[in-house]
Amino acid sequence: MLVPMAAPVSELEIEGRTLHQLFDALYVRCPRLRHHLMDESGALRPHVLCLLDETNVTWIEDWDRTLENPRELVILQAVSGG
Amino acid sequence: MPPVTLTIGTVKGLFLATSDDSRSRWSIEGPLMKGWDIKDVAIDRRGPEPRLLAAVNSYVYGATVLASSDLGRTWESAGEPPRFAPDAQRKVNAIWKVTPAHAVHPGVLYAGVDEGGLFRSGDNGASWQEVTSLNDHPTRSGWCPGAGGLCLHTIIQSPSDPARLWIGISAVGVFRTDDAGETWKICNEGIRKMIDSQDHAGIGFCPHGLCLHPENSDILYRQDHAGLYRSLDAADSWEHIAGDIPTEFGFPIVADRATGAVFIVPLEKDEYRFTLDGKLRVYRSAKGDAQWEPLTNGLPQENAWETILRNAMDGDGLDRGGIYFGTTSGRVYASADAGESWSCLPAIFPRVQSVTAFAHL
Repeated sequence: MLVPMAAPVSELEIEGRTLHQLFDALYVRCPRLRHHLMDESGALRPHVLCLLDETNVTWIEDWDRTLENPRELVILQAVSGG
Repeated sequence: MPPVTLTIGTVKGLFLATSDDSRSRWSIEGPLMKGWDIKDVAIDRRGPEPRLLAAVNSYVYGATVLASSDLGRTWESAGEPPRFAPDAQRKVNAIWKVTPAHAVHPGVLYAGVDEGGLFRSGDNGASWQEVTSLNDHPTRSGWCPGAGGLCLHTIIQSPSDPARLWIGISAVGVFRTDDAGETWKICNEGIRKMIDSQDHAGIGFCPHGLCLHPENSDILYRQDHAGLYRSLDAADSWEHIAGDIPTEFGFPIVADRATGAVFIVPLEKDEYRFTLDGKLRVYRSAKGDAQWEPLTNGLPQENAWETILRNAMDGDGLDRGGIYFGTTSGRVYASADAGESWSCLPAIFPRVQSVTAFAHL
């Protein structure tokens, strides 16, 4: 439900050497995504799960740390329970 | 008679129901905006072509405003959605209402949000600014949420005065501005209070629905948590108009533009919030007073344990009045004769949050 609302495609290529750079590059390509992924304070919304090469980005404390060959940033609904 | 389209906002997307000229047969389209919670759709007729505006919500992805220039078939973002400032300590948990301003201000829109906020756009929704005179009202520290949150769910623009608006917040009360949002008057005199505040005597009320008389904008009708009320003085004061109705709890209240009659769907009191005795009954007051009559022709009268939410009822303004409402079990009922008879649209929708009717004029 996010893609038709805020992104032209479900996959795209972006460049960046830090998490901040990757998200900024993503928002340049898909400006509406910023609002839907992050709340007023700039924090990731609590039910959004972003994985950088299978690591939850909220576990990465320093978003300005240079990353070694980042390959895949996946954005998912953090659907919990049912 | 022109065809009518209903926008049926549900917790899982928007549906469109379009009638034939007799308003007896309906074709259904949707879901549009699949998966999103559509709390409200407004029609803006101020421009050369009608424009629809939708309050679109997700507990995962936040809230936004979408616009449609083709009567709801396709939608696009209206712009940057309403947001509180990063340091405001408030969040837009949901957008409940989008309302066009007076026709003399063609680019101005208002949006009502949870948590307790009013926003104004001067550019047709491309950007939004907080109405801080209300959001930081001196009574703010006493504002308490209702069961649906601290939602600013009602915005009414006066058709006769571009500077006058009424807004409703649960469980705070009704406010009115007479100077386009510079200042706000608390408008709850005569209503039974729900929550006592030690510091602010004028608040603690729970308006559920509010509507204007179609021809006299000094007359308002209010379906409150505490019951049914009418104001003859632009909400400065309220009188109780429940008459001998068996239950006066409920959410939506609609004044039909063609007949002037007022329609409600009463529910059993706040502990239960569904139809009394399992009978789905609309009540009509032909003159907007304390004389209410039940309307049941075509509505289920046994084992119909329904709830009708605050934005889920509307009229089309045609003669005779077309009245429509949706239920939390996903049924939508239509009347083309001011409530004398009803039929159920040929669909079972997700939980209905909002119903907006507009004729193809």
